[in-house]
Amino acid sequence: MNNDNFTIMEENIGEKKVRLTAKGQITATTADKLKKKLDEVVSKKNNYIIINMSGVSFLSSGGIRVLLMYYKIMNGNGGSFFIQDPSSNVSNVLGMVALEEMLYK
Amino acid sequence: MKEMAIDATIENLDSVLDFIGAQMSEKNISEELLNNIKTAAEEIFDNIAQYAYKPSSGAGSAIIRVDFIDKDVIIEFEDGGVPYNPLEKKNPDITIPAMERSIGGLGIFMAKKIMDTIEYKYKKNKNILTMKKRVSE
Repeated sequence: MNNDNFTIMEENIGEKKVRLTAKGQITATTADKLKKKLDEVVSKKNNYIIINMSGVSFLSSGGIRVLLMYYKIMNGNGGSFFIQDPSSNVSNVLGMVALEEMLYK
Repeated sequence: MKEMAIDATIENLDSVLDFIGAQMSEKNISEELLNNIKTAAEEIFDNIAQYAYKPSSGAGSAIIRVDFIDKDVIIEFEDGGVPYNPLEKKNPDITIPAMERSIGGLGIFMAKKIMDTIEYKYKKNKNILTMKKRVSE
């Protein structure tokens, strides 16, 4: 596990809409990289963020904290924030803390 | 029993998780269970790195021990920082909608949920946190 094990890619999918594709392990250390990317995307006034997490093999509580923080920021501003296509680990940990409502349905 | 002594800084988290993972790899443990145990271990080490040592005293160290007894893995974290029992943290209310949740407190709650037991003691100026989980049938 190290920082090189986590990547995040950004693509525009419409007017103020962004899809992020996260891959690798989101630990207490790499969660910061996710936070920086979300900060950047939110500061560009995007009102729709969807994060594909099919390639995330490990999501820590630190990662969940970041996701919950931006879920609240986006929804609090009338925007949308979703997690799409979660890996089994992501589903498992989100289920553990009953945060499945962040998943894209 | 295998033991690792390391500076209690968040930069060392990966080494700690790798160490635990290496001990577990010798056993036939599913990836899901291993990931869950790492999630719990990460939270405990993160707590030590954040709270155990004050900036004035500089970085301190932590000792991590991994042992297998009967069907259980036992992981112990020891540090010489200020007395701190993370188990006293109030559990978050996970029945309320995400929008009303507070951001903190999820990690230790998850660790409690994942492990079969977690015990804390403060002995001879050391914080000692011991967690146990059944890993074989």
